[in-house]
Amino acid sequence: MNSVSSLRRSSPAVKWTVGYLIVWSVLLIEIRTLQIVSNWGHLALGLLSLPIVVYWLKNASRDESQMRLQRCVIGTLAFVVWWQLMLVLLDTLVLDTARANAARWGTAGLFFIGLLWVVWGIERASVYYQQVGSGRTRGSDPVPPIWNPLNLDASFYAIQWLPPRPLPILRYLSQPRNPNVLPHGQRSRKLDQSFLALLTYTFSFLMLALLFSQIGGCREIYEMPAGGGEQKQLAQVVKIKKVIRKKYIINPLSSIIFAVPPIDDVQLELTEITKHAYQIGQGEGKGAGFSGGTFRGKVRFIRLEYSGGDWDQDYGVGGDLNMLLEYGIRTQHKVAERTESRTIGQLANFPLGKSPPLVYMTGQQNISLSNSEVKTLREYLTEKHGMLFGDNGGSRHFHNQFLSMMNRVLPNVRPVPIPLDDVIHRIPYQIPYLPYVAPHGGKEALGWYKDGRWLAYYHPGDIGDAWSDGHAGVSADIWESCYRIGTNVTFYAHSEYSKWLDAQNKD
Amino acid sequence: MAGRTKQRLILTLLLCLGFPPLCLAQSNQLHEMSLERWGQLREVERHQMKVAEKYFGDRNWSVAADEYDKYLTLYETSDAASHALLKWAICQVELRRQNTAINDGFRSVVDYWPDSDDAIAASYYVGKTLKDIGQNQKAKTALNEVATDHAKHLAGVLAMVTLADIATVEKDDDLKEDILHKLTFDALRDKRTRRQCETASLQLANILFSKGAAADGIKALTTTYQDGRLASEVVNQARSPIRTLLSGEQTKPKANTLANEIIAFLREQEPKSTASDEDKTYARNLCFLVVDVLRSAKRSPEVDKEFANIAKRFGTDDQLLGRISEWHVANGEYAKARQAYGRFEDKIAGLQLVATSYRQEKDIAQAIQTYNKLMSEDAENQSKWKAESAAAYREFNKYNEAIALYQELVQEDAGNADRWLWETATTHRDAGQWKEAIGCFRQSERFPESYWEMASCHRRLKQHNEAIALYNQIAGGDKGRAPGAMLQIGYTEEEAKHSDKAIAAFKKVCRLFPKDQHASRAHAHLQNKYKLTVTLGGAKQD
Repeated sequence: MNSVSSLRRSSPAVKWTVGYLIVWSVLLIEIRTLQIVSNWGHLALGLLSLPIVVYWLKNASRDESQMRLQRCVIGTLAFVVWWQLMLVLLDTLVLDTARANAARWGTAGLFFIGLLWVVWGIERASVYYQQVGSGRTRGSDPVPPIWNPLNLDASFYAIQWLPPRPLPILRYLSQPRNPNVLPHGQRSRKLDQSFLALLTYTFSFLMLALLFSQIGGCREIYEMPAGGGEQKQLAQVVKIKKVIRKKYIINPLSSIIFAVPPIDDVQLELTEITKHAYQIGQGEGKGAGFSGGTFRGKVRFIRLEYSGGDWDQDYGVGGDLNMLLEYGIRTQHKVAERTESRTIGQLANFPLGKSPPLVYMTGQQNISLSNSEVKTLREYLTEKHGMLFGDNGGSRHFHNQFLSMMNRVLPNVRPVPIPLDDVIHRIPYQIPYLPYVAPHGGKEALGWYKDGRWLAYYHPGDIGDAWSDGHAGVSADIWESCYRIGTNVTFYAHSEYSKWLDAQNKD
Repeated sequence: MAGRTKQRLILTLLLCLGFPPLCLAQSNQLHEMSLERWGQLREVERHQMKVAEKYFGDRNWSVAADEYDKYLTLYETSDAASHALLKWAICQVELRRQNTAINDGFRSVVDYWPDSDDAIAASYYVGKTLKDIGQNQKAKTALNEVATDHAKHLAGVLAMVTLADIATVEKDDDLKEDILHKLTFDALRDKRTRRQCETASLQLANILFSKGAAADGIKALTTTYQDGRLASEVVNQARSPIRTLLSGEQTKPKANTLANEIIAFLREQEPKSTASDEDKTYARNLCFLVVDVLRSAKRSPEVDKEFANIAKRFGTDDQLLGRISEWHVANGEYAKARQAYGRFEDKIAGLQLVATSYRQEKDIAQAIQTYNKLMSEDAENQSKWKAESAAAYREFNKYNEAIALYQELVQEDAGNADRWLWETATTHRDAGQWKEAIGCFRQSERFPESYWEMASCHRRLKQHNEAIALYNQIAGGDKGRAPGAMLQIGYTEEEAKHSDKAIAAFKKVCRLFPKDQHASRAHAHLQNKYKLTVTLGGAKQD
């Protein structure tokens, strides 16, 4: 109450600054959870801090006595706000590596700034308690034991705790008012206090960091774009509009020279009107999308991280992002700005009905999964109605590793070659034959079928390489086919998920 | 009338001569047309069908499908139209268009020609194809119908076999047992279905033995085996379940009961009189089977007793001694085993087994001593025993001694000189004596293996140019090994720190052999190590 009333009494600048910090904190949590406000909103709010910081720095210089402390407080707050601003900016510019580095170094900076404040606080407190203590010792009454760790006279400082001696410790526990039962060494009280402060601060910082990172982690959701459409084969209507060229009647005896270009250089102006006969999607909503989606939902491309191998082959810009963008262009569904990765354990953070319909997994080395990861993946595929898109990134070994992993995840389902006339190979694009870059694991796509749908799709020939920049040097028709397969599998997973959500809602 | 019969006979004979594969196929394949039906077709129909069947036989599925389609267009009302549609659907399955095959092929056969034999086959293929594309629930329904409606038909038997396979995948033990029971006891056994039924009876017996139901298991096996074969199959199928049941504390009594029941069955089978040699041999074999059961049940004292009983009843010979020593070896009692080998009538065979037991016991000195004894006692096969001695030396990493023996063999056994030269070379290689190994491999006539080994040794000696020259010779001389040799050239250049040449070699593998597995390795290596992307051409429509 006191703080509220003192805030009421304070100047408008203080009120505005506190208000700003409250709004900023709320948005900081929002960006990690709901993500309703766009990155530009966050950037705008972050940039607002610039005039506020400048104002307070000027204001601090007026009062010489409080100048240093105020500047430190302003500097600390500015560091936190600008650090987050930089993260949002790098996020918006899709500079993933720079963002990761900024996040790492920023955390380290925050830790050391916090540590400086802890040292300052401890120093101030011990000076204060020394002054208070010198007053207390003047009396003749026995002094009760001091437990306050900020006070250097606390009974537990300078006691030889290590190596532990059971008897004195038991004696001390039975007589806590008599610290003399413990063996006292030649230790510095100040050093012990500083060590305790460092330990406590480090532990608290780690706990808070863990808690803050989990705000997003435990509430992670995946939502598909809202809309509707038909699950039909893509039929393109191509109308070629003939443009009638203008004819010039030339008088051969005219004094004007006409430069008539050779007939081969004349470019025909043909206009192609290509439009889809229907919108790609599932359900009866408006616009291309899924009836089980939401207005803020997007199709995301999530890659699985696993131990033992190179899970990040052709990851991000120039790699699988190409596929995600192509999917957006081809289906007109809203797609995320960048591709993402999650560990298998993180799949458990997605709740039922809001989990990703499809996750992608590639590599060419080992796949090493713990039993709990196998269980999480099984739950994701069977109970959360997810789908796994496996891609052999370059070896027969990975093929065997993937099959062996799936045998652990789905022991009662055998892999079968997926027919070329299956819905997954027909909608939205007809795939007449399976394209591959190199047949590392054979020439047939394998699938794990259960309860009326494909739970996993395995491409044996490095489809991810065909999506990446340069397309692994394969011809245009092959990489186009690879994009089509990627589109088909992504669409299949989302429409099956949407159908499942519809069925759940009806129930 | 007699003329017509004669004509038919000649036609049938000609058809049999002209189409032997068809006649053979009729007995085994569900989708083949009977000769009688073939004979009823008009000449034009036969011609078109023959063309289609030829492509089908050549596994040219796409063209075969077109030819069957043509047949259906031209002769829609023909007797063989259902057959053509069935085969067209099978072509679709092979072309990986299973859904089309089911919906437009197999189901159409059932719908339009429900009374034909092809309809039964098509019903089975519906289930089988559904199973092959992972749709097990639908497959089960379809296959169950076939199995119930046509239990005595080949399609019915095949449907049950497929159902049993689905049950195995889904770990549905009750369903599997039920189907195997039907296949064993109810299904018609003719020359086309016998193999499936016999396999089912073996599987059923194994399941029943695992449940401790000895009598039922034996009953299942009785449907397939009689007399002498039955007893041995009973023991073959019962041994593994006895061991499994014995491993669990709770199932131990069940294992003992099962073993007792099997032994009782074997005793029952003994002929009352062993006067004839045949009966005596049979009775003796039954006793050996009892020993097998006792060994599976881990009843060592009873095993010893049974061996003593056999010796008492039928006398001691090399077979019995061999079985006794095998039992001792299994228990790690090599000394006892050697005592038994020492009593062999065939001294040479006994000594050989003694030497082997010393090798198993890792006593090289005694093993070599025994081989020396064999060399003196069996002079005719001296080279064989010398080679065994050398192999024993190699087994214990005594390469110089082994090489000395192989060199003696090269001199003494000129007929197999190349073989001993190869053994000398590989021993030098195992000993890390690369130069000597190269010298021996060079003398060998085994191309391209010798070149391959020489190249490998040169690489160990860091003589990369020599290794590359050899790999090039392999690539030029053996088409089959060329991709592998060229890949190795890449790795060798890499070892020689010639990155550019290594890259060129790997690229060459990708360019020249894009469909080979070595190209896949080269492609992955270029990508991982050099961050280079090379095309393997990608897929082409089959």
